[in-house]
Amino acid sequence: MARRARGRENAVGSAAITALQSVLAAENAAVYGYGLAGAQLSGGQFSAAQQDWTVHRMACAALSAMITERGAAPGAAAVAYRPPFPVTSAGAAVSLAAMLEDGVVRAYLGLVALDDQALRAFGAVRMQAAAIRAASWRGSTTAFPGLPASAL
Amino acid sequence: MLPVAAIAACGAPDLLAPPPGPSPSVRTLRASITAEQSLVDAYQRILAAYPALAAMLHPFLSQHDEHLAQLKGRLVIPPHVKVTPLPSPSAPASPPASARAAITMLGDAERAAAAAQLGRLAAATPSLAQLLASIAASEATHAMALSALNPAAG
Repeated sequence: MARRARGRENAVGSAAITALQSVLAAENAAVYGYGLAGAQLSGGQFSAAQQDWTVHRMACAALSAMITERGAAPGAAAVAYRPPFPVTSAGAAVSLAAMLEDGVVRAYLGLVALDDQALRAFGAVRMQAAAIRAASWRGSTTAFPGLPASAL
Repeated sequence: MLPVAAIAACGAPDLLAPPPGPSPSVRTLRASITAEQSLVDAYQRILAAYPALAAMLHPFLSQHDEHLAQLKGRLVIPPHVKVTPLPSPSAPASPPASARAAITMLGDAERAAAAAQLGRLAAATPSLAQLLASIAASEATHAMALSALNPAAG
């Protein structure tokens, strides 16, 4: 009985770790991508990119700590990430920033499906912030941030 | 045909008991539907009072229509469950005194709706929780976009 309870606890814990690792990977990609985007931006857009870069760096640190606390090793950031298109203009940089935030929204939405209520709430709050950043880069809002069309 | 012992083990239905109420997930879903409907009503009241805002507000209103359709599509109430009908929308308040005040009111309503959705996550199944969190994120982006609108320019 006790062993079965512990097995269930481990399964819940490992689902949480997998979801947290996905969020960390999305945040690491965002840190790298904002570096690429920032190089093409100036003025207010550059400052916004710099601010968002800082947010994602802090999130990486916080997520790494959460994963370590659960007894796992945080996934390492890749040395480089290939952007989905060449980032050689301000327009491309803005599109990249919006796409990076979309990826972060999707990753945090993974936490919302967990049984751990604290992680559910954490994921929901963080995905709002990322959805707001995505909408402000894109200049428009969407009905279902983070949800794939197949879930609707 | 099950042996009688097995039927007894399952617990015979108590014929005198009142029908079961809706499950927590159904209650959560109904609360979300009511909240979405009242946001849609608020947009429609303001558009009736300030038709010049239509182009600015239409994207938000149509996204709320999508939210409402998704939520209603998930509401399946088994025939034996007794539920009270959804509350009808509250009596329309008089519209705000200016277009600027109307936009501020909608922004506040979006923020409050997003916060209320987060309060419903714990009682929801994982898939409903994701839908509610996504709708809350959409509402948070509406609040942000509304605060950047300038009705004088529209």
